[in-house]
Amino acid sequence: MVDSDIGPVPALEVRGVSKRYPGWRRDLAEVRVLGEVSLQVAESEFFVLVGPSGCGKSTLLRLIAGLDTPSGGEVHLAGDRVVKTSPEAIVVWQEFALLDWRTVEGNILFGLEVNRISKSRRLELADHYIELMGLTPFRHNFPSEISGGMKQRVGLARALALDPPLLLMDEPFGALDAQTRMIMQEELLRIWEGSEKTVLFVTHSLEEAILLGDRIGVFSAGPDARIKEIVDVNLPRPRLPTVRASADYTRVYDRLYQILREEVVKTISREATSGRP
Amino acid sequence: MKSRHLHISILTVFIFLAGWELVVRGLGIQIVILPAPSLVVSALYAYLLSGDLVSDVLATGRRIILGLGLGSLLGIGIGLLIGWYPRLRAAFYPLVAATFPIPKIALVPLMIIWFGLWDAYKIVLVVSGVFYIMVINTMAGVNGVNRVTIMACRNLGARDSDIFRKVALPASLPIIFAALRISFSVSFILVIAAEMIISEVGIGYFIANAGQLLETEKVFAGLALTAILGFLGDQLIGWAEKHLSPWQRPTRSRP
Repeated sequence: MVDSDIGPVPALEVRGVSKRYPGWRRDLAEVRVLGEVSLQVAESEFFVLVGPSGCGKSTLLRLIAGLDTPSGGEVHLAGDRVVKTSPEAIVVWQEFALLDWRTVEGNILFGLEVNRISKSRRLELADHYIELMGLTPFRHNFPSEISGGMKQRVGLARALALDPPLLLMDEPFGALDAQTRMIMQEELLRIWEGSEKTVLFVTHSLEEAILLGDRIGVFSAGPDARIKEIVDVNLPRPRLPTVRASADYTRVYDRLYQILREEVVKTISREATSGRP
Repeated sequence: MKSRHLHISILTVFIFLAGWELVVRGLGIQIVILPAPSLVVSALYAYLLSGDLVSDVLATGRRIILGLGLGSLLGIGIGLLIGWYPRLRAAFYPLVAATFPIPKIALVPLMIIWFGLWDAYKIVLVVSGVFYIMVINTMAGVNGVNRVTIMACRNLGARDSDIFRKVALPASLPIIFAALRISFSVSFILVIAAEMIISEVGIGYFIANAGQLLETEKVFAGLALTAILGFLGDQLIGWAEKHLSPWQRPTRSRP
């Protein structure tokens, strides 16, 4: 069993969720992306998912966000079953997914507008999150005029402005350079530590996983991917980048690497035999 | 065209006109074959003084503006609808695709039968030309809106109507403006052609009439006028584009 008992009502509960897509041609076999995935994340927990590329981590995130329906199983947020997407769980996307025609401020206002928040409150919230994310100098710039790191700050500010209990982060720093990434990790920790938010964070980077997470779920290689093992990260918080030098860090890293390596090798050999990625 | 190279551009035009003038005078080419640019300028000036230039420009301009306006409103509206709703696309796109290849100028006899000889026929002809360009491009624009962006907006709480107004429409604006530029040149072609076929006022009428009378310098004056108007019209659309889709402006240096 990978799910442990963690309190009465978990912030997020994934119960035996599977996802299959029909073949894109009738004579092709269906694609079984996720096997039965079960997971419980406690309130205010920072949970990280790692796994071989293409294993379905992002698919799981979309199912949790209610942007796609599971083929089997259920997703519950704070006890309520997810049937459609809602601002209770907001996704921060690797590709930012900002609106090119809106300024930094306009992008942050978008979610507030469509949720019919009053104008004065909207501006107040936008002000607050622009300030919090250090976006003040870029307030009136368009996304095409700012760097990747700044774009993802907008993505995060836009999500936070709706005050979702759960943040779903889909490789949010994957498109950023290593230095920017480190700064963003620090800022994310700072914001999360000062809030009650639950975070589900997908990444390829084991370093990032250990630096950020309370627990790390390792996915098995697809098809029928599932969470193979959950590793606890018992490193003290607040965590500084220097945590990388500690013996505990190395121990968790080695453990994760061991589990993941097996799965990545499986993925590679399957790709080699099928002749396509 | 960068404005710091403006002097080069002006110089080229000047050399071209001077060369033309010299060749015509040097070789003694007849006016009816090729008038010297100085004669074209004086013909244009006489055209202006007669008052016909203003009334012709107003007539041609009115037909283009009405035709382009109606045609693009109709085209953008229908393009947005069939681009956004797959069922509407299934219903109407075949009809659009089947009638699109008809050269619009071939509709002239039908348009004259239906709408008479004067303004209405010319405007409807322009509408028919502009409509297809706008429908097809707007549809492509709406269809091409990034799927992840739409997902992100739904996740943030946007309903269908929000996504249509606040995402699909602005995301399509650059393509819509590109199509508007093409539509403008097409509407110009169609109006001039329609005026050449039958009219009593308009730049096309002026050119056709001058041609029949072998007043070649007037023909050139008419052509010069179309070049000027075409340039101004394109600038106007460019100006509107800059104001309506400011995110497309060249990247400013980062503060």
